Amino acid sequence: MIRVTVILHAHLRERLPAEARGRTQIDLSEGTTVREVKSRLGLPEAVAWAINDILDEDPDRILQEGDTIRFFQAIHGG
Amino acid sequence: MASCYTGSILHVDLSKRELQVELPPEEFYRKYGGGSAMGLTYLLKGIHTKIDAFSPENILTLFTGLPTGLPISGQSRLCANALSPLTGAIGDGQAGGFFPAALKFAGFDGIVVRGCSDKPVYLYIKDGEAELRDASHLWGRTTGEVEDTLRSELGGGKMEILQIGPAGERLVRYACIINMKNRANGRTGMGAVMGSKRLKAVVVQGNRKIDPADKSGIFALQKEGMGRIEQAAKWLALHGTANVVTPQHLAGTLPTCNYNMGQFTDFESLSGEVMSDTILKERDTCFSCLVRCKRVVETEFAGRKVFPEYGGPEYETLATFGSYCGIADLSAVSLANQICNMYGLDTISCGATIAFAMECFENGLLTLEETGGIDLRFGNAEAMIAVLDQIVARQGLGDLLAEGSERAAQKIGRNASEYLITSKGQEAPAHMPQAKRTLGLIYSVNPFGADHMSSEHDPAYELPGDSRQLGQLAELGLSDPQPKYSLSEEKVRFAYLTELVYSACDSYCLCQFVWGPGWQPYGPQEMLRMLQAATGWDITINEILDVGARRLNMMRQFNARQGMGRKQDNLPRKYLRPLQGTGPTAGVALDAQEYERAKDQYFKLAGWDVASGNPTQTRLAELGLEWTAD
Repeated sequence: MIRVTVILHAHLRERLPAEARGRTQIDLSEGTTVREVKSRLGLPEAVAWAINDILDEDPDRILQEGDTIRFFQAIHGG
Repeated sequence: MASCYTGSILHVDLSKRELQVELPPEEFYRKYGGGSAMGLTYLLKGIHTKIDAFSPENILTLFTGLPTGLPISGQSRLCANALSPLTGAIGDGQAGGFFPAALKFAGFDGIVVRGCSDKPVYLYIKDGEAELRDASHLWGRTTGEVEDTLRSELGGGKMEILQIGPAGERLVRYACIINMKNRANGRTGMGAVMGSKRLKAVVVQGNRKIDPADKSGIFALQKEGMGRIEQAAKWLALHGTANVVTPQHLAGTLPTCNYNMGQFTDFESLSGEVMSDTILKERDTCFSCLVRCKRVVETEFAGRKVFPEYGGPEYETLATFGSYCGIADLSAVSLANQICNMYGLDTISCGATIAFAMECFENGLLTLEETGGIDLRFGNAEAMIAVLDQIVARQGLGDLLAEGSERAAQKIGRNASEYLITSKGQEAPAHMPQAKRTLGLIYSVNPFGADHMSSEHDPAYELPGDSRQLGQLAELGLSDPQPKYSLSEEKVRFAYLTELVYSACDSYCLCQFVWGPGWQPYGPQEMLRMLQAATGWDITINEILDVGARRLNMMRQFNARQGMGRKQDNLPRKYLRPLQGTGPTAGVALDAQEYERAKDQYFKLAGWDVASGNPTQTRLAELGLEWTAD
């Protein structure tokens, strides 16, 4: 098993209890991909993510022990 | 005549103290749509030669658009236009709020202000009647004080107030116009023009009905929008534009320490989520808008309270007073936002000018003696507030910075101009062209200087892309998304076509967060449906694009009369040097030659002369703008 930190931004935070303020740690079996984490958390398809604050676009990326993954709405302007 | 507009335009001559009402024909409304495009017709007919922006010859126009006041999201917008005292080019600032709709309910689609009053006045409009009233007792007062005073004097009741703060009176070149104490026609110094005319405020009251031609069509669109906001724009509804801080940091496009870096280590303390968790008091909105993206905060910094009545910082403000200045204190940024709203300053140019001064200070171009003992280093929040206090009072270093960073650089001398981030003299907003390449093109060619609300941003048309956004862009004939960081011919086409839609939005007076072609609630087809339902006219997409093109062509024509053209379509030299710091944009620099080629292509697409960058007679004739060549 590995443990990763998940940070959900903006409205995605509503998937966690309010007191978590969008942050949680989850235990995953080794070899778990970003795609599988998205599915487990029930995140929409069109969501962007960064692993250890580096943007990533490969849903088949395998997460590692101690990783922090942020999920957020891709926003192009504002 | 369609019932969605009043058909009346108020002309105010402050020198002669004369008021007149014009009743233009329907063709005028259909051809220009309202907003900036309509205002530009009066500027072009009234200003034929190079003038000083603070002279009585300058004309200030305040216009709503055809759908303003209808019961649908993203329509209550007001465009302010005049010759800009900041750029020497056409000025343009847009604001939301309740004032725009209320102006129409009071009986007018727009106001054209000429001349200069010999003493401070305010314009009072009620149910189609207008008069000028003495404002001597309001001069020198903050926006909050003026609101309280006028509401008390006028007996309360429903009214909206548009006004300048003391910064506009003192001719700070990036002073803005404020309504509701927290909505700003922010950019290009329109508040300073209003101040030069000694017009302190415009008060509107009235109950005129503004009806769409097809009520059920408007209601159906509002209902559709409700679902889409819940599905796709909830991020904006819940946490406002402050949500953009985190994605910008991760993409390396959060301008930091005066645009020297694209990542800010302490970005999270400025984020929308932290604002919601700490100082957010409530969400606010504009007339009939379901998004409710506006922030209302309550906090304090250095013993000074930040009151909810002055709203809360948008993303741009969080960046300019935050990351631009290396400041991670959300309360300090909120206080800066409040000072700008109390005194009437554009938070973008103001924060960016302070960041420029910080870089000058760090490099020894400004000394402690020149700052009046303020340790103006990046990251010093108290120093940022102290200089801002000086700017609104035009005291000490603040008097120089009130002129904007470009004029300040000329005065400071040596290599201060290397620290500028200005295009046509206007400080750049918080979206970095080092990653958003076509934004760099638009920053340079935009007639009123660097602006982030004049075209769609690159990631909307970059691979892998979002299917909904790409679907909406395909409605404009944009079906070939490009790789990241590209400034390809297709990308330039994307910039030009989306610029036309944004320009149309600023004519019809539509909020781009709601109606922009790459945004969530509505796409171009819905915009078309809405305008058809509003007016009852058989409007087409091409007609919308032509309205947008007319505005841009008139702006370039206006600038040409002020002696401007391609030579002024500059990028700051700073963009040509590699970015420092961390993240995906570290080490990235723009290529000046690549931008010259992009400009060539852009001018060809626009139908403008490639050498001068100005509209050709052929293009003007296509748009029915031959008269602007007079």
